[in-house]
Amino acid sequence: MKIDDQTKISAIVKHNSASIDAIASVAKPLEKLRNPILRKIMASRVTIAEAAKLGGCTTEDLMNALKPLGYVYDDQTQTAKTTTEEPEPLWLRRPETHSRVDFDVRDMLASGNDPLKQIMQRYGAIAPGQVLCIINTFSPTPLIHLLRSKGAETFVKEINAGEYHTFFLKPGAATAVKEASPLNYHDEKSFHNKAMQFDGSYNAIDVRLLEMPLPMQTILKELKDLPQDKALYVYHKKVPVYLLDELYDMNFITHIHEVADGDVRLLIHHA
Amino acid sequence: MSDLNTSKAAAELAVLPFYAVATLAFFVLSVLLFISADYMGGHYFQPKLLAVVHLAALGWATMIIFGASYQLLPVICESPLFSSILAFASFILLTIGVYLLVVSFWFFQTGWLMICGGTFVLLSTLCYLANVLLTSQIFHQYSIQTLFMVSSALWLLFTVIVGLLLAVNLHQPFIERNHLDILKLHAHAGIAGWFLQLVTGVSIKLLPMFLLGRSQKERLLRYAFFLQNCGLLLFFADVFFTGFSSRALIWAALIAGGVICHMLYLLDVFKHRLPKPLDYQMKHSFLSFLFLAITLLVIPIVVISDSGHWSILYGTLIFMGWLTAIILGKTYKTLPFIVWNKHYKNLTGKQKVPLPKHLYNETLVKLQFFIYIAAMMVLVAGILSAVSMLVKAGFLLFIAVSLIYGYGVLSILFHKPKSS
Repeated sequence: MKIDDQTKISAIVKHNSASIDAIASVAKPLEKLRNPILRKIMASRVTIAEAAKLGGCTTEDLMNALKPLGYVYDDQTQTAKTTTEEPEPLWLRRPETHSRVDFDVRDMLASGNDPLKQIMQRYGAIAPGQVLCIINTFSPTPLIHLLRSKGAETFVKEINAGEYHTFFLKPGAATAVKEASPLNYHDEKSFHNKAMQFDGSYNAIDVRLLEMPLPMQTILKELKDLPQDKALYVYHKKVPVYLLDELYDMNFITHIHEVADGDVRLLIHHA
Repeated sequence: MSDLNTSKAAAELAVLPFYAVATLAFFVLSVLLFISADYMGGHYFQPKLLAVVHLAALGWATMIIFGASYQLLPVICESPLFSSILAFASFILLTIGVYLLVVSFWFFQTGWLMICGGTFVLLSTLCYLANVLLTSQIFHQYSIQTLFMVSSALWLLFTVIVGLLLAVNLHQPFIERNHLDILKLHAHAGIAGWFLQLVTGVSIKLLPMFLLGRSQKERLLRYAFFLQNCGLLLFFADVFFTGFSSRALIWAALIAGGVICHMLYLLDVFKHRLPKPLDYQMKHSFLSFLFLAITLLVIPIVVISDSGHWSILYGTLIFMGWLTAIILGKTYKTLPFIVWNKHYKNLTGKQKVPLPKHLYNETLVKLQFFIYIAAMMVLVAGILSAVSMLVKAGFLLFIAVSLIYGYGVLSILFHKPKSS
């Protein structure tokens, strides 16, 4: 049988059930494949590449284990995938708008129970806009596929080799209206929190020394190239009242914090 | 900056009363015009028309310009208003002066009542001029915008002085020249000196701001300043020393050249703006410049024909067309901001606030725009065809415009923040 990175484990197992032992022997996390229940939910959803990721090994390791059973690796279709660290999505950094529910499933898995049902129950119980965090020994690819198909946003964070945190943002009304107000005043703390959501990904400009109408033009010029998930942090000497309507028309959300007289901070980002 | 914050309430006092009283004046003006529509066919020098022209020029246009200037001078000159108290004084003096003048013209009571009214307007003008000079510090910080602001204020002073002399002359004739020639000087110092130069100065600052565009062609503005003032001064010298003649067309052409330079500059700003649809406030401004262009085209006919209804049309285009259109639009680009500042500027703590444009109903601005266009079309048709019913219908539509505008202004002035 010819296989490649994208071949499903279930297809391999179907071809020859001896492959179960072969794959399970490669890495400890993959031993779950021996469990018939886990195999049922995982195998049909997981590809070779994903299994390698789950097991913390390479696709070559898996191929070497499968070769003696007569599987032929098809190099042609191998996609040169580089594993890059994805940045944390914005919704994960909103402490005040999204409370989080944690669920550690490591013990259940170790004792051979399938946590899927309980995970789905907990996911069903959280409110739209809330985040469910599954703590696990591997990245639960099948679960990610399943909940993504239901509209959830997901993010996997590797804490260490044996601990993965997978976050699921439940979609719904709350995410749609999460920032309905186009103009918001803040005290120091809430402005700081707001800015922290864009931690490291905001551009800062100081327009305090510019002559009218340069502050406005500078801000608009910066906003023109502002990526969707970034924010513009502006040091201003006053609330730019003439600009506020324009920002709204251009579909931006503005946060204002007056530090002192002549020292106003703005945080502007896409709606 | 200290004046801006320690006397925030005073700063509002320097602006908001002007809007309130001017809005009322616009309504009264529309009603008076409706009542006196029958006079619109004859000669312009008659009591009822003198009353409504002064109500339009001082009670409506100048009143709102004073208020807007006190708000915009700090923006244009980048320094706080010199004195809110002086500004409020100019409000009280102007209000008393205008209504004394209007009443004395309407009932044609020449004498102390009219002279008193003129004197109050003169005192108000002096307060305004002092504030403009001391806020702009034109001698230290030159910019073409402040130059226009200062020159327009000086022309206003000149206009008011000549007007006061004319009021005295009606009571106790002492001017040896033709009263109507001097009246032309008075009117045009007001129109081409005060209003035109002020609108030029303010528009070259505000339109780039609101259109989010800019132009590098500032030399056009220097030509505009030179041509507008030269034309006006030569017109004055000519009329004063040799009397009014069709030579006025040459001087009018110079001023028109100045206006064209101003328009070319704005056109350049318009071309270099951010691409976005124009709102109805901006459309009012463009309508206003259209009326100004038509006014300039009408001048030769007015000078040559010397018949009553062309002069009436000329005045109508200036006051009800050019100036009213720009005020109707610009009010929504100035007033909401000061009211917004009043309620939301120095907020601390976490809260959601409305946008300046959510202080009024934009649909009403749209409605106002279309009814206003209808009003002008019917009115101009009525004046040209000398059909009194059409003129009356036009003014009836103006009453409707003034009510919509009044509702809009009052809803902004009395905006109450929702307690959250």
